[in-house]
Amino acid sequence: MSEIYQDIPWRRHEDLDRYAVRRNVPVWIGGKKVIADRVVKTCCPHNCYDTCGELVYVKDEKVIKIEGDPDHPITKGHLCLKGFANVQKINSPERVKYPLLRTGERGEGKFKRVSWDEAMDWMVEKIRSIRENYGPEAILEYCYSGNREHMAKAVAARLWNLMGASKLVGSFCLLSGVAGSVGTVGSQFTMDPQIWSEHAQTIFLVGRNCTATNPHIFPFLYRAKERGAKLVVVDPYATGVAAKADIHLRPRPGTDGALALGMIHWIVKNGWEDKQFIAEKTTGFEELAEYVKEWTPEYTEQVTTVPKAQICEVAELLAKTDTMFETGYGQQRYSNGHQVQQALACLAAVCGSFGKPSANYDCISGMAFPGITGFADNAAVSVPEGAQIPKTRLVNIAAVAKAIREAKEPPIKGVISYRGGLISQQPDVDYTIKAVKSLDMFVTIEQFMTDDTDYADLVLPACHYLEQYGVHPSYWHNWNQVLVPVCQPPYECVPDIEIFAELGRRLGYEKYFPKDMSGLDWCRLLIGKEIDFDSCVSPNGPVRDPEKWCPEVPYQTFDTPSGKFEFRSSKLEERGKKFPGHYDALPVYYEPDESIAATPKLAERYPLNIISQHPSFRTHSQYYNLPWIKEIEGPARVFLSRKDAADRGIADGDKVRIFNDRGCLENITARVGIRLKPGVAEMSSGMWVKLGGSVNKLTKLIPAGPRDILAENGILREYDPLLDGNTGSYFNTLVEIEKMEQEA
Amino acid sequence: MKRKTDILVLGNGAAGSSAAFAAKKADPSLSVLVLSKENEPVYSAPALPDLLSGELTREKVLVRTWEEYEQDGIEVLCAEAAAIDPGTRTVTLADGDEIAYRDLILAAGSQPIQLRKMQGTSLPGNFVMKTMADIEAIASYSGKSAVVVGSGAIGIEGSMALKARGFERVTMVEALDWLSPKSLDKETSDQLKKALESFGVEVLTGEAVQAVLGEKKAEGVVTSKRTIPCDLVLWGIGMRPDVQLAMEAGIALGETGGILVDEFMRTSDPHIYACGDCAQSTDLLTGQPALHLFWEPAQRGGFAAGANAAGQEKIFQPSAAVFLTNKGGLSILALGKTEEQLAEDPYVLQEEKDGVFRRLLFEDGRLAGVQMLGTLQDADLFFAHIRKNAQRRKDAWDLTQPVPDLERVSVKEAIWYLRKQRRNAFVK
Amino acid sequence: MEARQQRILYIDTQRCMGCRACETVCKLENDLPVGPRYTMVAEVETGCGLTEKLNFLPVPCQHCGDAPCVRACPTGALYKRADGIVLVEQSKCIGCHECLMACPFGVPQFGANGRMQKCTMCVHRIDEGTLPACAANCPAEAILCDTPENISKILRQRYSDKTVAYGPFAILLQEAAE
Repeated sequence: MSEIYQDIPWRRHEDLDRYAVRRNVPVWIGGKKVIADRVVKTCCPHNCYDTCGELVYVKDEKVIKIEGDPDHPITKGHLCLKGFANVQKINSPERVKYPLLRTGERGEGKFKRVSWDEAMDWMVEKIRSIRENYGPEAILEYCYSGNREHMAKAVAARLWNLMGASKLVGSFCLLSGVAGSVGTVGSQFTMDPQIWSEHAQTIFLVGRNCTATNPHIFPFLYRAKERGAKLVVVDPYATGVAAKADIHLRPRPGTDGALALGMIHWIVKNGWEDKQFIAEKTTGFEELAEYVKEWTPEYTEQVTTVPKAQICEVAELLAKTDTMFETGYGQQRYSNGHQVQQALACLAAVCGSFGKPSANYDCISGMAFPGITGFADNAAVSVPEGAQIPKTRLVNIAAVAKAIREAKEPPIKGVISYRGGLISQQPDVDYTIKAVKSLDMFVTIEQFMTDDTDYADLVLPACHYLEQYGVHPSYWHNWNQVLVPVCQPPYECVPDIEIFAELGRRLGYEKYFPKDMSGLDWCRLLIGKEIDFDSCVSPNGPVRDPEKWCPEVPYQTFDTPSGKFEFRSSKLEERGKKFPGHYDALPVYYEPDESIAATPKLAERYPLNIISQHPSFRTHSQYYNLPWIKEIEGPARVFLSRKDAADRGIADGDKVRIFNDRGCLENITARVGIRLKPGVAEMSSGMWVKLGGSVNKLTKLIPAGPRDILAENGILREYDPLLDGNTGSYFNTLVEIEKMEQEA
Repeated sequence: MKRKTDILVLGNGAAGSSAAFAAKKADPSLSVLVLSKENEPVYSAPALPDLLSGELTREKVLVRTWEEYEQDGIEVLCAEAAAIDPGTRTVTLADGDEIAYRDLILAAGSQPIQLRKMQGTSLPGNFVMKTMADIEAIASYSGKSAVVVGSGAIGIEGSMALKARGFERVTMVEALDWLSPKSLDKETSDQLKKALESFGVEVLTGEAVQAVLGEKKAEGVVTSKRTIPCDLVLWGIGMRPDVQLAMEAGIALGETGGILVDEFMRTSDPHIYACGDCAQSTDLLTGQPALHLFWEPAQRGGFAAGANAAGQEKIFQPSAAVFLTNKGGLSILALGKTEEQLAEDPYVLQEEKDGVFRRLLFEDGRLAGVQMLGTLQDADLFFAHIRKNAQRRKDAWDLTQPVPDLERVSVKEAIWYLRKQRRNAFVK
Repeated sequence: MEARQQRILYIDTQRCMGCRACETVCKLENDLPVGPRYTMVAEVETGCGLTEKLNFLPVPCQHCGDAPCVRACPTGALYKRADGIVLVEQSKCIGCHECLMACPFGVPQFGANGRMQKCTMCVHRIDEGTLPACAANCPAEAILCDTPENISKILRQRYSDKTVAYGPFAILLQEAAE
């Protein structure tokens, strides 16, 4: 049955052929040679360290094949399993093809097709009515990292600024860790893996599942190992990279901070700290040394369950060898997350792992927030010249469901959501759904009919990232490739920026959304001053970020108030005087919100701590519905230790129920083995609620610090993303697991 | 009168009926019409000698009933085609009616070779064994002695059947030096002669029939060496593919005289398929064009032709030429190369014991042919090896293995080794 | 061609970290729908307590030297090319599954047409002078496609050719010194 797709008169039509690296390129498909019209360079803008360079083959405006870009010195022409699945994703017949207006109740997923004009009219009418009744702050965007490039967000922000809508700030994935790091180190940088792989003697990898989220680190890890370096991995769960470690430490979930303190204790006790570095480049060491006195190996073992021999062995290794600290985000997904990162930074400083090609520290690159660091001139895009921008309230995404439910004067009545799965990815699904149901307007811009679209009033057909422009510098390596559309969008799909530009024009802001601004123009406006822009655009690229923003060997100096590494963070201390939360100057350890130690009564009913990795099969909730991915991943699984399984009469392959007071998951396949210690279970995140495996049915909405945004219902007047946090503390979740009875 | 059908099948034998049923199964929405020369549903031609001998009844020889055709919605017209026009896609019947087709399947089969020019061959008493009607004619013809011309399957089975019917004297006359020399070595032929004689059949070789005697009916035959009085002459000197209509319609024939088809049973016309005895086949073992006038490839070819005419893409795997008779207590099997066809490094192992005769022919240590009487045991094993060895490619590694020490092994040991080789393919 | 000059697909299990990129790049290269999986990554947990180990092993076709599938195939559809690649000639395949019974690794896959299909070592790419898709793409550089001789050289370089004592040889040297 053929459908007719309407022309959209306000859509920009561009000649994309100018981005071709080569034309009429032969390419293999199923053993036959096909001539692609062109091949285009772009990069992958998902929320992943690698930000791979890609070569995309297009024929008749359809993507037929994709490969890694061999010109990229870090990703080297390799892609992850999702990279290739993009061909299936972008060509999927299940894509949302035209705007859909809800006909049934929210959650029924019943829609009728409408034209873009009707959709726009509906949105404009709704927005106007909400504005009239409640004021512009009743409108809020929801946007995260499904496509993490920054340009569209800045263009949308132009509209929200003009409208005076509430402003969505923060993150729910890593800002608590960043706060702990920024408080001690100042601005964030990473060192090129090409450097540390050649010089480091030990690699200390914490909370990082490289197989799934950073596969391109492996050649560098292996190069280091082949040179004789040791790999130490800290993770409660045995991941692919942990399997390659010389030493794998498995702390109790949420106690990585304690582990770091225990190691600092042992290093200081034996006098192994880098005295020169501490004397010349740090402040506050004596106070930290005093604090860690109680963190004896015995005590640390008691808290973390890591055997004290291992604590001591690793501490000695880190201190006595040149150690590269590669820290991830897993360790800070607990309500004490900022403390963990702070402690890790202090551990790195005690070892002198800053500012050297052989020993340095990586939490994240400042390029993750190009608008905050200044590499990207966000204001040039989001604050139009000559416009009056009303001051507005800030809504922190780590508590967005709370904010929607609790906001008053005005309440939040309308949400426009794109690039993020509000219902599938925020903790505590049922709580979030109640929040969504209270809205007058919930619009989603989506590629597929997801959990979120089920509850939407209006679904707009989104473009795949390969059909859009974008700026996405990697937050791990220092290479930049501007994203360009490789093919024309199909059906009635419209790039995000064009949706917002047209919406802006229809809301009366034509002056600020000129029709002749292309996505490339917006990108150039965003970063054109800081980098040789044209050299980053296909057929050129990638280009190394400027030294100014990404020094080759960073952390030779620190831009903290003292100009040094601060064991006692003055910034956190200052901030803590103004705002509620846990702004400890020292990396004081405290138990995560839910744990067997912190909530023993709860733990009597729910003794298992469930953590949820980001598996290779997905970026969050994307790719989950693709046939290849479903086939390769198989049904939803939960990993258990042998002891926990035996205690519950669960055998490998049994179907189990996972539950706590917040929700229940059924028919999950149990995988019993060696990957976890007793007391811990693991289940992949990102599975869709409606397909039965969403771990967020069980997780709790309790953002990690430092700032206690829940006390303010997530609605803030003032906010510093680099010092206030937050992170969704998904991993401090207690559950019980039981075998399901067979149906007779 | 003109009528239309999607699929038109000329012939209702093994190939034609299989094609019709396969086409309907592949796409039940198509109309399928079969032209059948005989007013019978498909019956087993190989079983006709058993019908003659009395071992089987008429009902038992039928492969399908008319109900089955009806159930599947296959229409059968008892008529003969007179001409095919591929241009207009029309078949004209003998009575002048026309049938328009979307796709045509030729399954006209083959006809026994009859020496019309020889004296006396048109007299009553001369028979072939092709159809039910032939059997009925033979059965209702009274006689006490018969001459069977030819030593192939028809000759052997015909002789045995006539003997079983009570003919006092049955004489098999073979023109060539020994029985079925294209399939059998002389040693095997000698064994076969002995076996036939033990059933009371006289066997004469190296003698050609030159004429049939008689005025009003057959009374005897004259060979190059003698005169044999008889009441009945059964001719089994070979079959010829029935390609008259195809030829007249301009459809390409192969070098063997059968209709040329590709592996999908398509002829030189894109809407015409051919299968069964009338189509040229490829020999599985030699890879050469061949005529395989057997039930099994006809049925399989019919399935492929029918399915493909209905829109599928079934490949027809070639057949091997198998000389096989197992009737009335006499069994003989010959498969693969004869001795004179053996190429590199030939070797023959032979054994005769307790009425079982086995002759294994090897090339370069690998089984290339087998001939046996009195048993069919291990036929599948031999076939698997012969087939595998015949498939060896020149551009590939040879992972087959020769039987070691051929000069010193007995037939039993060689068979043991062949069995072990086959089993070892699955050892994990 | 001699056995040691044949091509093989070698998995360096010390490097494979289970990302499964080889699974989808193979699907894309060979235009495969859901169903046939030419390569599949096995996750192997062994040991208990101190000896616990997690390993990953992609299992494409092993293109065995003495290929049991070739030996089992009754029609000669399966054959081992002179350079070692084991291939199936589709038109000769009758879908009998004997190769599946013979293969110790479960490599033969059966598609919608009932005939066997499997990893071809990307013979179309090899004949062109490039590597199979999985080997070309592996982010961990764990898949090698070459003669055993050359692979041995690479592995020795990776694991034995040490300036700093490491790995199994280091343990041996250490024990010898003690």
